Amino acid sequence: MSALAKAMQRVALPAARPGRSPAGAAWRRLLASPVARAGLGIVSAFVLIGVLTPALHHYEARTDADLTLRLKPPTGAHPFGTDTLGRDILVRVLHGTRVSLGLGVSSVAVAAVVGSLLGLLAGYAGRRADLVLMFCMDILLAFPATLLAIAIVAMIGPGLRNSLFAISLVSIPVYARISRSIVLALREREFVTAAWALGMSDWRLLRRHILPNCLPPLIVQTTLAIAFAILEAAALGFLGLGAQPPTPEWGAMLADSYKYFTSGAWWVFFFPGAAIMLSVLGFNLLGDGLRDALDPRLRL
Amino acid sequence: MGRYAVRRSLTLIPVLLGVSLLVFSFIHLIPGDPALTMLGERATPEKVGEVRRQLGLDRPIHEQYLIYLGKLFRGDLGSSIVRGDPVLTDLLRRFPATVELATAAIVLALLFGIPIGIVSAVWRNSLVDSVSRVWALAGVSMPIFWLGLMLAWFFGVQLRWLPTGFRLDTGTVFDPWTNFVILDAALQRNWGVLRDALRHLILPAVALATIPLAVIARMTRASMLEVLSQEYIRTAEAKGLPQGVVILRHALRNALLPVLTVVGLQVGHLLAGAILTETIFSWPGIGLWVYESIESRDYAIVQGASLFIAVVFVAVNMLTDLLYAAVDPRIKYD
Repeated sequence: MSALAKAMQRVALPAARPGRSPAGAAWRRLLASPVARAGLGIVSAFVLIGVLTPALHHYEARTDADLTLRLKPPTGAHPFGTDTLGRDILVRVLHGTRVSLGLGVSSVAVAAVVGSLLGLLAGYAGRRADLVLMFCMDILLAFPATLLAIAIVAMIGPGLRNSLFAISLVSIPVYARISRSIVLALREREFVTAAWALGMSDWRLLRRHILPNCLPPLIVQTTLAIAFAILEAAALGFLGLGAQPPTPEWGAMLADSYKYFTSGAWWVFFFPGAAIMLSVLGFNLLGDGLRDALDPRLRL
Repeated sequence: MGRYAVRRSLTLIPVLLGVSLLVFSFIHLIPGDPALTMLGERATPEKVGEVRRQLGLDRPIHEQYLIYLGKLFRGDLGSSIVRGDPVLTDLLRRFPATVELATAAIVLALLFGIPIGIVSAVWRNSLVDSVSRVWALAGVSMPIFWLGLMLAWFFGVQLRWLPTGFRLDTGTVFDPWTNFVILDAALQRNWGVLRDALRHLILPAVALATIPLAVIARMTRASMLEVLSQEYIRTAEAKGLPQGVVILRHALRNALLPVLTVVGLQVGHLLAGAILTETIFSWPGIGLWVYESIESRDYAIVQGASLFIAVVFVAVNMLTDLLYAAVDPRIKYD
């Protein structure tokens, strides 16, 4: 068989066993993919670090400095080396997990709820509401997301809460668009018409039939949006707009150190950046795996 | 096609108005008195009042917006609060550096992204495919400012192969005509400067190209897979055409259409990414300028540059749409 013919072969997805719930089937498909397993592993590890580090180890960022230990390369005592203030980088990377991941996850949570509701509303509440809402979303999408987030935080002032606001805001339109398009597609489907003809109330219809059908694409989007939000938060931190020193946030740690790269102290920026990349990669791998497991178009 | 182009252009009007409204409202997002925030706590009340008048903050808000809009039509993006220079003049002076960097990045991204995507799709699920997929996913996950730092450190500081900042070596005597240094150097046949400029361009361009490269590779792969599963490809294969012809002539031409849209979208992200890349490499384009203006709280520049980038982004996306309609005869828009 030629390579081309192989490429043309349809992927044979493991068929759902009869009697299993769709969620169970999707879960088993997810675990069947090595890429998704890797993503799930990385994400779980970071979540554990983020949750356990503050519980197991107390860290006082404000008093952490030891100038006798400035810019020491990685050793047994300081596996990731020390930074320009003599702070242990491993400790700060571990404690930064909660800040960076927390910022990513919480801003996406806000965006997901607000965006999906706006999308549902646009798809459900009639033409005028639809036009106005989607026009607003188009305006937000007319800006490259990173630029809009940077510009907004530059205006409202730096800080974690403002970063959260800006990252949520730029993540909203995608959610609104996805949920709106699903609602519009579902409205035409027979089972929805049937439920409506049977006299089901709008609210119940929305909750029982529309929302569950919106979930798979929204779950995929959420995983990928968290990846993007972590990157975005780090970029804001790097530009000095996110978490303020001495808060241990990965992007801000890079900002502290980047002027010293000519001195050859690579560990100062290598480890925080690697943490950003690895966590973002984890969410992206998981999102890709989830898309394969949940995408209804692939459910053969 | 002509009618479609006109209609598509008309949709720009409300979007651009909306964009201008959002950018206009930036100044009102500043907590407290914007004039006071810009000038700092020690400013005299007279000076604060002057800046307030200059910004038009003493007028009702709808009037402020109309004045702002009127100025935009006359090409007035306001003036730098720190230096007093008109924003548009500085913007246009610095834009060529960013265009040069972004062009280099998109060329790199296309040059490597498309072949990687094709190879990945044709040998689907092979080792090559797995490696390039993980590689592409790593690229999408890359904080480019970190990658830039690593590149600068490794190739600039450790190996000393390439410069890590600015567009030319300090001390290079060169009088550019258009501020597109590479173009100017080539036109003036100044090969020494051209070589110097290219050397300075490599690292920032590679850093900026990473994400678009990965996105293009992923899109090319997905799009190729879709096309390869279609009947006409099977027909072409059944006719006994060589595999290379089937892939490059029959499949790739259709597969590249969705890639075109992605490239259009990436241009906007390149301009935003330039803020991070230019900061790392001291590249004197609009990205570095925005970064410096944020630090010095020169809000007029942040505002003007945001508007400018958004307009470029919107325009590029429109051009992509039109190009798409022009190159794909199967699509009829009316």
